[in-house]
Amino acid sequence: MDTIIRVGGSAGDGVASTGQILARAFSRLGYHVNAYNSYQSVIRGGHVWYNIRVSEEPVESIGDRIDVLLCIDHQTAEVHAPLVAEGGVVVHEASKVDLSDIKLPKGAADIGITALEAAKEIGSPLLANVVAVGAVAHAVGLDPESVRDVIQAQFGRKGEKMVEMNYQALDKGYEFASQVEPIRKHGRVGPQRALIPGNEGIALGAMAAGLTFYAAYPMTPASTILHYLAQVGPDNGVVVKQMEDEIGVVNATIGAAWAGARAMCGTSGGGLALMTEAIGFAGMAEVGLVIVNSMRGGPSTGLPTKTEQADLWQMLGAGQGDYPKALVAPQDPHDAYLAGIEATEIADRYQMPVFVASDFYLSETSMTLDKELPPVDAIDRGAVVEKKEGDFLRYKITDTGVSPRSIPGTPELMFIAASDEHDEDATLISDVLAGLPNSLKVRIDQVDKRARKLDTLLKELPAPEIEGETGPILISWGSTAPILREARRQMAKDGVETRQLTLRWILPFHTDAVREMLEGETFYVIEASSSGQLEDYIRMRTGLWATGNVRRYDGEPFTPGYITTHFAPLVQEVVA
Amino acid sequence: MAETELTVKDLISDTKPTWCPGCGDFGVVRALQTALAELNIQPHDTAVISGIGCSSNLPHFMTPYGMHTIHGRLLPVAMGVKLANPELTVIGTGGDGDGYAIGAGHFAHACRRNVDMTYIVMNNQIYGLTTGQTSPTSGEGHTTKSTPGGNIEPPFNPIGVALAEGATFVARGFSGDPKHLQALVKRAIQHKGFALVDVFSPCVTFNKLNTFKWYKQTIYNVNEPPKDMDIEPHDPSDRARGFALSFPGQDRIGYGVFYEETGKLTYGEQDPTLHAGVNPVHDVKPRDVRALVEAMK
Ligand SMILES: Cc1ncc(C[n+]2csc(CCOP(=O)(O)OP(=O)(O)O)c2C)c(N)n1
Ligand code: SF4
Repeated sequence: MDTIIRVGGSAGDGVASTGQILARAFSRLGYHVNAYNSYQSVIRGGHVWYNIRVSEEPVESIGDRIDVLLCIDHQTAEVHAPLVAEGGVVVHEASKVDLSDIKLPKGAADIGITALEAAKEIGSPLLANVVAVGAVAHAVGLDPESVRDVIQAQFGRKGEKMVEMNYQALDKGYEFASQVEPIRKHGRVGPQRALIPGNEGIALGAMAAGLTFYAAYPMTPASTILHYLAQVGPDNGVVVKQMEDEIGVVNATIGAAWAGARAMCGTSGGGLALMTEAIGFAGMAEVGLVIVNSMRGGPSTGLPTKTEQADLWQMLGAGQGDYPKALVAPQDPHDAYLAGIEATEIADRYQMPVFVASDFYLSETSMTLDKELPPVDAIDRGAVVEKKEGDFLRYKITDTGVSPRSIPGTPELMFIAASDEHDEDATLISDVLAGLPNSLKVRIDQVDKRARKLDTLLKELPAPEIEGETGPILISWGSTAPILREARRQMAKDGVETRQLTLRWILPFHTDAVREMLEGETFYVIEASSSGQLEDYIRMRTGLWATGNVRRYDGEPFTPGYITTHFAPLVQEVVA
Repeated sequence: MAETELTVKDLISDTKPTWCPGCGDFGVVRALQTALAELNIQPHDTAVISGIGCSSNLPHFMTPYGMHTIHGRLLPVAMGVKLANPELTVIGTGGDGDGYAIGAGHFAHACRRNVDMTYIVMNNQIYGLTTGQTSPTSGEGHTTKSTPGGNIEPPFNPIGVALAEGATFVARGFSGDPKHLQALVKRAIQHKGFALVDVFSPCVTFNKLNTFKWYKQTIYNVNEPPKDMDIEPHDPSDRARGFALSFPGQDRIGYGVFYEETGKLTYGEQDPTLHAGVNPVHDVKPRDVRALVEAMK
């Protein structure tokens, strides 16, 4: 059984912090939580909301209804009241919200609170959110102790007086709501769970795998990696640098990686556009770095705080010329941790750029982990040579595509890493040797050698697997996959059986395996892109046409309801 | 391992310079090789990072580790190298187009950041590799392939910009004054912090205006001004006067040391991670993140 709480107001009302206290209360009771922060690109005003969905079972999406709605302002009531479920509760700040013209669903209870006034009486208007938390907590049947526990954890450092005032505010909220019956009871269901957004997941994975350098330029929705690492980096061996622009970011990261650090940078599409020339340089000079690209609504500035999955071609096409790069798309924060590890390792061992594709929804939505995060036991730096033995050929032609590499500082193994084409010993073939008969062969050998990295890497990556027994195959990537999983379960209850395929490694791609899976099958592609970039990519790789698709590009994350509603007519078409 | 005294020869690579005979950049590479040899900084402990341009081919002609990066980006790359391994001596080498046009944004920020590195700009007041277009340092009226009617823009003042942005060592050399240049480069490498050495390094092929002869007639040593100019020798601790001297005066252009500030903490010394003793290259190891996850409960 799941419960969905939504808090709405305008920016500056403390919507997110109110939501976070509630979300944390549940995760500390052992619930699975999905906490989505929907905000706008304004600092004050506008309309923002925070959605918390909790359950004893893993939570795979934000859901499609609201059980308890907290309206800090009137607009929240107007926008979200239609989603309140039968028997739900609407808590509203009576000084700002007038429910008389708002139609509430059957059996919905309504609680008016005067949180601001109460907070001022207790001693600070800032406590209004905690008063509201109390009212909501009562309505969802959270025991006050579990909220006090969060307050203690959050404000304990600020002193006893602060905590005491927060407790008073909380009690006041419970009191406001005392006349309504809680919708259900939420008590301890297991040990405390960590509540982790996708961005922090990537950062933790990279750190586990020995990350020592991170650079970025602020850009939503990648900025929280910068904020998190700036905070924890110094104690965990990571140099963190905000550069003057994304060109500086990627080049500093390349410099650090070439010097021998494990290095990562993060951005969103606009910043990635600035990085692309240098990413090709890393491909040519064979420098391994990780680039996190957290996608938001495009093109251009687009929808800075809304989600989309439409940078696929941008990543695939980053940089002029042909060169190998890898691209992995994790689906939830746990998977983001794993992808952080894999990307960091692969970039270093394969000496090439590796993309981790995230999106606004995954990057910023806090989710609980349903499995432990596996530790990294040892680090393999790949073909690093520590001592000169015979000729050192930095760009030696090898079967794997990976050449021996020296770390600057090592005697006798000096070389120049160039953005120009070069021979095995790093001599340029771009100037006085360009076009000479031998250089033609060198060029082809080097291009082919670099390209072989992807063939080698593909062999160590597991092929994707189909989930489910029968029915059409629904394909997605990244954060859409868990939402699709929930949608499929709902459809199965209605007698529509489906299968699911998640494409995690986009580059290198298990072309043969995927073609074999899809050949002769009915398949649909579910993605947050208007043109269907993933669908095009699948066709490009396999030569197979999808039967249909569900695409979302209004900026909101997929929900199971969105998928089932849009998918139902497609299946009917097929049947007809 | 005891390391023997270096000679200039130890800094010269097997790759023959590809510059036009007479190019000013020959003097710059020689000055750098001499300085490193005299300072006995081993090639394997040195990273020479360049951009793109004739001048940026320089690392290939030397034995240290090096990166020949992309146009205008040597400064962030060099900074990444230095922050990743503070034990390396990091030297950036590029052209005026590379550093003051496409790379100007990085230049301003590198100056104020005070990363401990040396940046040598081979300033020929023209684009060499792309066959002679105007550069940000080309003079007004200069006729080039892209300004056939004469350059309209006033030139970029690298010395003034570096001073305004807070660089802690700001100097200019001349490829035609090798002794002075060698001493200058050596001093720049020894300087703790960001050191800019803008070097007038004539392009004998595409710049028929700013030739060796022209420079000899036009430039003067600000620290030892010629008598006929009747000015005081410049004291490099005087930033305000350094700034004033960064502009041409009496139809002459100054070279020498415009500013030197010792004792200012470098970026690396203040970075919280490096300050804690971490070396991002040597300290790559698995990290236990359990406590960090615990903090998110
Ligand atoms: C992004 C990009 N734009 C343009 C070029 C072409 N390009 C190569 S070198 C150069 C300018 C060279 O002038 P300068 O930096 O002063 O060096 P010089 O050749 O004079 O030593 C240009 C524009 C390039 N390589 N990359
Ligand atoms: S074109 Fe000019 S800058 Fe380039 S090598 Fe020749 S003389 Fe030097």
